[in-house]
This record gives sequence, C-alpha cells and structure tokens, in this order.
Amino acid sequence: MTIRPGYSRCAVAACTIIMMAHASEGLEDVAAARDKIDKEIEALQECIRALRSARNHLAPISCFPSEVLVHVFEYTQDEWTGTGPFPPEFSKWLTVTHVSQNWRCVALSCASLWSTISISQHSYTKGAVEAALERSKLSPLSL
Amino acid sequence: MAAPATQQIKIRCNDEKEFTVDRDVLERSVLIKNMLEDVTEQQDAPIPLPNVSGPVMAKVLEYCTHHRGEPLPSADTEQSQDETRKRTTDISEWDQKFITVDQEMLFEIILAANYLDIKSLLDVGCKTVANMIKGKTPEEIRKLFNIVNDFTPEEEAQIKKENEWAEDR
Repeated sequence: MTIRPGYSRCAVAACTIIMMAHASEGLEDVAAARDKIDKEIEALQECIRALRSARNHLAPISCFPSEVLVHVFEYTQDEWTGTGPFPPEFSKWLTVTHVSQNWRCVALSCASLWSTISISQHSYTKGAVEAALERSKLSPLSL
Repeated sequence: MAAPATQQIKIRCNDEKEFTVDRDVLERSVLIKNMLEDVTEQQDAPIPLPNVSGPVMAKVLEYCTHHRGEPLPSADTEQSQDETRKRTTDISEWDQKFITVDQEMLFEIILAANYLDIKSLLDVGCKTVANMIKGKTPEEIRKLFNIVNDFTPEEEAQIKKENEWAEDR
C-alpha cells in the first residue's frame, strides 16, 4: 500500500494498522485492527468536537456572560408564553437549546426559563412536561 | 432666573478617550450613579471605565442623552417587568433606529450596558438579539453568529428526542 504525500498522520497510522493486519493474515488480528481503528475514529471525532467547541469560544456572541445570554433567551420565549397551543411554539423556543453546547448548557442551567408549564389539551407533551419539571428545579411554577 | 448649572462629570474609556457629560445623563448608569454617590468631594480626575471603548461609550451616551430624565427602574418595577418581559419584545421607534448597528457594535453595546448597569439599554440590546434568533432553525442561528455544531453524540440523541415532543402529543 502506498501512501500519497499530504496524507495526515492519522491516515498514515490507519494504513500502518491495516498493513500489519494483512501481513499477519490472522482473523483475530484483523478484528483487533478494526477495533483499534474504531477507537481511533472515536477519539478523533471527540477531538474534532472539542475543536468545534474551542472555535465557538472565539465567536463574538461567546463574549456574553451567561446572565446576558439568559436574558436573550427570555425574550425569545414570547413566541409561546401565554397564548396559543404550546407544542409547536415550545419547540420553536427550544431551538436555542439546539444551537451549541454552551447555549444548551446555559439554557438548561437556568431554572426560571423552564418554570411556565401549560396543562391543557393543547399543552406540553408528557416528555416536555417531565423535562420542564426537572429543569425548573426549585423555581416557582406557573401552570 | 437662570437654571442651576448641571454638574459635568469626566469619564475615561479603555482607549484613553475622554468624555465630559452632564451628571444626570451619566446617572442612567447605576454603576456610575453609585460611584458618584460614594464620592463626597468633587473630583477633577476622570472616572476610569476600563471595560468600555470610546466608540461604544459614544453610542451609550447617545442613548443616555435621549432617555435622560426618564425614571430609572426601581426594584418593584423591575419585578413587574420581569413578569411581563417575556411577552414584549417591541422596541420603540427611536430605540430601533439607535440599535440598528452592525453585529459587533450591537454586542459591544450589550456588554457595555451590562457592565454599566443600564437596564433599559440592556433590554433593547437583548430584545434585538432575540428578534434576530426568532423563527430561525439551529443551523440558521449558527450561521448568523458564526458558531458550529459541537454536540456530543449523546446530546444529539437527546435533541432528536426533544424534537419529537411536539409529535408525541
């Protein structure tokens, strides 16, 4: 197997593992090599994820302290608080928790963001109610 | 009879830019108001504001000058505003025009309002960011703020579950 110039160190390492497995021609060695590559892929994926988080720290909006970000999130809630059937609007607001790890962490840590729960035919689903109850912690609830 | 002269206060920003401003304008900032109340003797030395640059302070002062004389929020009004805040992302016409700036300046104004403790300006800034977010998908929000998806596979699985909440009903 030839390795073209420009391949990353990881690709070189992977090729070495494959060559060793083929050279030994043992099924156990091939399985072990596959496991090793799987673990390597997992580690690299985690490494990429960590780099993505580090990149997010450099985004201008990341200079907001948590309390300011919470303040912004509170204002995004006006789409669903108080009127209308809740699930679609709830899922709209929930969008802020699906943007990045930091946004999710800040939103889930702020109990007051989760303390308004609508109990009616058109209110939260069971899963949403359970999540809201858990995330609202000891915050007074508005039902 | 001539009106009493307004006391002028000097402030210095982190880029050495100095401003001389009427005291009542500066007192829109609770931080500066408290600093001024703590000083019994008149001082000529400018108040240092190490977290705010000159261009941002100029914008903040534009806001404070426009809103001078308006009542500052008390603890009681803050509480009642907290209860209704979620429903009101409307911004007055003047404030809307004032806050129509590029994203970098918008964030700087928000940070300055937070540091200087100017609640009404912080509200205007946060409402503006909230209005930018509303109605967008996570990917659109990421693109808007130059952020990327950094969730773990476990978090992705939980998010997928949450997206199904609306469908489970």
